[in-house]
Amino acid sequence: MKKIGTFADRAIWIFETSFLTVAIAVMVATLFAQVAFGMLGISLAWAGELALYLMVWIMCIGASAAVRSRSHIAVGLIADKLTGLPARIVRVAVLLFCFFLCVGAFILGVKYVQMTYAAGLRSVAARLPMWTVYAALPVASALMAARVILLAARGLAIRARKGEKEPEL
Amino acid sequence: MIAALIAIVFVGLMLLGVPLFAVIGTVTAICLIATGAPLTIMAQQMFTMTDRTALPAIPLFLLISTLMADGSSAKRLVNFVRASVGWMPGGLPLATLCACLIFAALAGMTPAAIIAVGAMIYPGLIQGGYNEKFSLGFVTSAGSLGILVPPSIVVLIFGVVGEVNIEALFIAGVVPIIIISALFTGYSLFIGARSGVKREQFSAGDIARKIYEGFWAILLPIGVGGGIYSGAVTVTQAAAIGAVYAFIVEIFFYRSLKLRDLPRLSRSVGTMVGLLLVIIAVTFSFNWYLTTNGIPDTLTQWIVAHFHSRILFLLTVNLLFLFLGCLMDILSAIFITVPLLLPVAVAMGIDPIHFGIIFIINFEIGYLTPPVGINLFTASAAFKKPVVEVSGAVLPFLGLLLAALALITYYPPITLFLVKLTGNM
Repeated sequence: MKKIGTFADRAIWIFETSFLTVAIAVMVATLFAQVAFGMLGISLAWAGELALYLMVWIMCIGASAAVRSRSHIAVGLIADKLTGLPARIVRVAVLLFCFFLCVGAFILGVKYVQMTYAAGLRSVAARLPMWTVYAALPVASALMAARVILLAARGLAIRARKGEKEPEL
Repeated sequence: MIAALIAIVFVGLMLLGVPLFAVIGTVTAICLIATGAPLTIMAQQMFTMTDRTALPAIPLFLLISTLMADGSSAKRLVNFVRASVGWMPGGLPLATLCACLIFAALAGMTPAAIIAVGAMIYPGLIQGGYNEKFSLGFVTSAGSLGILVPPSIVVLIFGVVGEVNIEALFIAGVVPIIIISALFTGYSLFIGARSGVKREQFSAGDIARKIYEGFWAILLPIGVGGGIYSGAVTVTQAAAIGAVYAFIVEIFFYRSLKLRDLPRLSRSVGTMVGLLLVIIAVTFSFNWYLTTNGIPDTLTQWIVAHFHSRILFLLTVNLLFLFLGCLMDILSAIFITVPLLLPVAVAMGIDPIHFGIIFIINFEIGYLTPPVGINLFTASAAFKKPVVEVSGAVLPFLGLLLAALALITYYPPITLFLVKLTGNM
């Protein structure tokens, strides 16, 4: 079990990191090209669109990476005060809650992708099929659900307390 | 009845430590189900973020700050600032302030600024003869000022969530920053004179050397700030140019970063983008629910009927924000309160840009207010001092910030004058 967990953690890690590196590089390059060509009087309308769609994907995959590093913004005034058994119960309950939410978001995302795919929606300037953008929602929800389970398997809470570091690979 | 139930769910989930985006998402889903609307509206509204062309500026500025902080630009900038203003009366605190402004702005979030700048300058302040209490308080408070300076992520997010002109917000922040800096510098002159602090030697050679060492790094904030303030480029364009520039400078000129560092840096930028934008995305669907059900209108009517003067309203808002600032961080507060309160403020005849600056300064103060002022904890950890001691040290600065807040709140031209002058209104 532990081996499968480590393998899954690594696999998702590699996917997230390579995706983020490439997507951020392409986004910066596209926006820079838009400014550069704009100075020459050539307008690249598709570039702004592409950058926004890449940003949606970066956001979704980044949200999954943020579950790994347990850095999602949370308030948790009560959770911080608890110790011992009550703290464990809250921790597990919150993880379960997040897991079901991810499953819900996954189902919603698949439905939405099917809807936009069937409707054949395309973007205005780049003529990209819109479902390729919306697919970020189910993909990210699935990744996040897996990440939540991996946290639970390690006995970690959804958010790090102050000063806690991200566990190594 | 339903409203009360929703409020309980909202507060309960937050207190238990459920991430904010999940809390807002759950509440939105419950609201939609209760009104019989299909849940796919949530997905649809979340993706309206692809209509906000200012949004890509957020990942880009996070990238710039990560490149500079991880490379050597940030350190070179601080060295330059210290050499150029350190010799003036009250120079060391002034240098700290400038460095904090540059750094907090670049890093977007202030705790990072405190640690980075503090570690570099705090020992200098003590050596320069400032007592420990003053130095600690100064470094901790100065760190919270940067959230008004471009390319502050807080300002960007306020602009996106509230649909307020971001360039105008940055321009409106200029005079408030100057006022607060002047108050801080004045106070440090007073302390410096009282405790007989000696001035550092002026050395043209040293300044020249620091300019030479930090030349490329110094150009970046000048270029990005100049571009945005002059209106030559949009915020997103400035960010795109800045990101490419920072990349080239760090990799090829200073060689302080290697290409193989990029996956690690991309991951850390991606993580920050993920945790920030996911909340923005769910906030869009929550806002859709609020507006289609006329909730901001109802709230506005109630407040307009009960608060007869603008001043009374602003005072209440100030108190509310100070209170919230003690409970949650500024980004959470923006997502929760801006969609509700901004329409009210506009209905009461308060300019959204003015409101934005008041909002942000309130939360700067919130950063320093116990029990959950983030800067207090960060400073306590960074300088190995108890939180109580740090809290005591920031008290005079809290007073100064409150005075500035009062001035800025009740005299709108401080924020709006420059905006009008530059034609952004």
